[in-house]
Amino acid sequence: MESEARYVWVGAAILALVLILAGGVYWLSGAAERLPTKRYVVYFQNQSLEGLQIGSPVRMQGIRVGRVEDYTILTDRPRTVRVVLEIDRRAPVLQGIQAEISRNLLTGLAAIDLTNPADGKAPLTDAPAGEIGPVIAEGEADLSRMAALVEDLGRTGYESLARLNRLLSDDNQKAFAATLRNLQTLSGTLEASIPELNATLVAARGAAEQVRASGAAFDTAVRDGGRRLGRVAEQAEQTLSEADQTLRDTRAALARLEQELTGVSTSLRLSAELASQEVEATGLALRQASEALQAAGRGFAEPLRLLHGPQREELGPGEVRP
Amino acid sequence: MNGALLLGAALLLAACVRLPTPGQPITYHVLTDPGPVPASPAAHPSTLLVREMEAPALYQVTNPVFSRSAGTRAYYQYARFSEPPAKRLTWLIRQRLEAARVFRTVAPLGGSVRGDYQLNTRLIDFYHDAANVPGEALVLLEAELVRRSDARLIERRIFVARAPLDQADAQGATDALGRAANTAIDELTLWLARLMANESR
Repeated sequence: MESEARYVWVGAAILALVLILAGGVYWLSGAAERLPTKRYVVYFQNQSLEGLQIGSPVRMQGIRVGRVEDYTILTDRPRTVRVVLEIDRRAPVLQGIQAEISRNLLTGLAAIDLTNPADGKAPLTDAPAGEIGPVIAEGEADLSRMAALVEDLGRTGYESLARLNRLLSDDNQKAFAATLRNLQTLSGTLEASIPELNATLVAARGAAEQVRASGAAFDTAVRDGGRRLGRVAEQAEQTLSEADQTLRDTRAALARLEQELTGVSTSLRLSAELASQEVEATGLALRQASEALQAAGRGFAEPLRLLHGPQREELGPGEVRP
Repeated sequence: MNGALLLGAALLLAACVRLPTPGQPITYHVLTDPGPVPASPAAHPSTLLVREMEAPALYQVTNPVFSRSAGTRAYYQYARFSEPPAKRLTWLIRQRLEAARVFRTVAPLGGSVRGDYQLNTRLIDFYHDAANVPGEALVLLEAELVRRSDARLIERRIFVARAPLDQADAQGATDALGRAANTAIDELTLWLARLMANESR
């Protein structure tokens, strides 16, 4: 009785294992994921297909909607690969849709991302003559866009700084110095006029003295008139003194202005030079970091190699594998 | 009975997994400056800015590279440089130019120093040619001198230097690469001295 019960358990366990094995085979074959699908074709010409293989996922807005069914490297069209996609019929594949390759940085495995146009159009249904399905246009990969953006950024920054450098070029500096020289000449002319003004003042003062002398002669008769003339002469003398002081102030201000403008020009030129260096060095570092990142990504494309180490054929001269 | 079945299944599954074996120890090598160089009798009264050396992706890692047949390259698996060769060579060039006193001042580009001239360099090849045993080290450097005031390229030149290996392994390769690199840098220093003598005229 007891041995019969054991046979039942053993039989049941074997049956369960067989069922699990069959389920696993069914799951691994991908039959469980089979849904009504439709075929589409993409011609990749500009993007690298490294890491793409038959069965690679096809995604739309991050959701897996299909798989790569087949690919052919065309011999009649240089650098072109024809990839056949099998896409769930429920996925909206619209006219103007684009296919881009995205790659997992760690594993290096690639997938195809489909992006519908923002302004939803009619479904893409027409297959060109001789094609097994409608043709999806090739898009531009994110990495390429980012590299182009970084390159544009560097180029724009470099051009801006080059313009700034041109603004502060030797020719412009010469023109600026010439303007300052003209201002200096103007102040010199004004300064040269001061003696003439002084002479005028002296002459006016002499005239006042004469008037005052004449006034003495007619002291009694024209006392009041003489006083008035004396006041006028004093006022004239005061006005000319003020004009002299104003000219001196103007000349000092111009000298200060020239000094400050020279300082500002030197400072701007130095800043532009150092900023240009920073941009150039940063651009180079960015470019090298991007290349190193891509190389590292390629290294992670083969996880088994990371786990088991290099093969014997990969060893360098004098190296031995333990 | 059940326990024995489970244990057996676990053992069968464990057989599917292969643990990685411990690897050969990795050795780090340093590219060094061979020592003092004769100083130029009269340094040019200008400042040289040295830009970080450009390098292809192959040489942006620290693994030394070897080649067993023309047109192929591969990495040594158990040897490393202390830092990527291009970065180290930039530093060696700066050290050598400062010691040789070709210019009054030598500074890195982006170091907030205003410069009169700029040295751009590119590492084209830097590997152990192992087609024959023990082989030789090959270094190809491209350099160009630019006058910054008018952004004019004064001259561009490629320097090629070779050095035989003493032993056919990573140690021999890195030693020979260091010797070849320093030979190329010596030639670069002489080239700059000649250019600056022409500039002074």
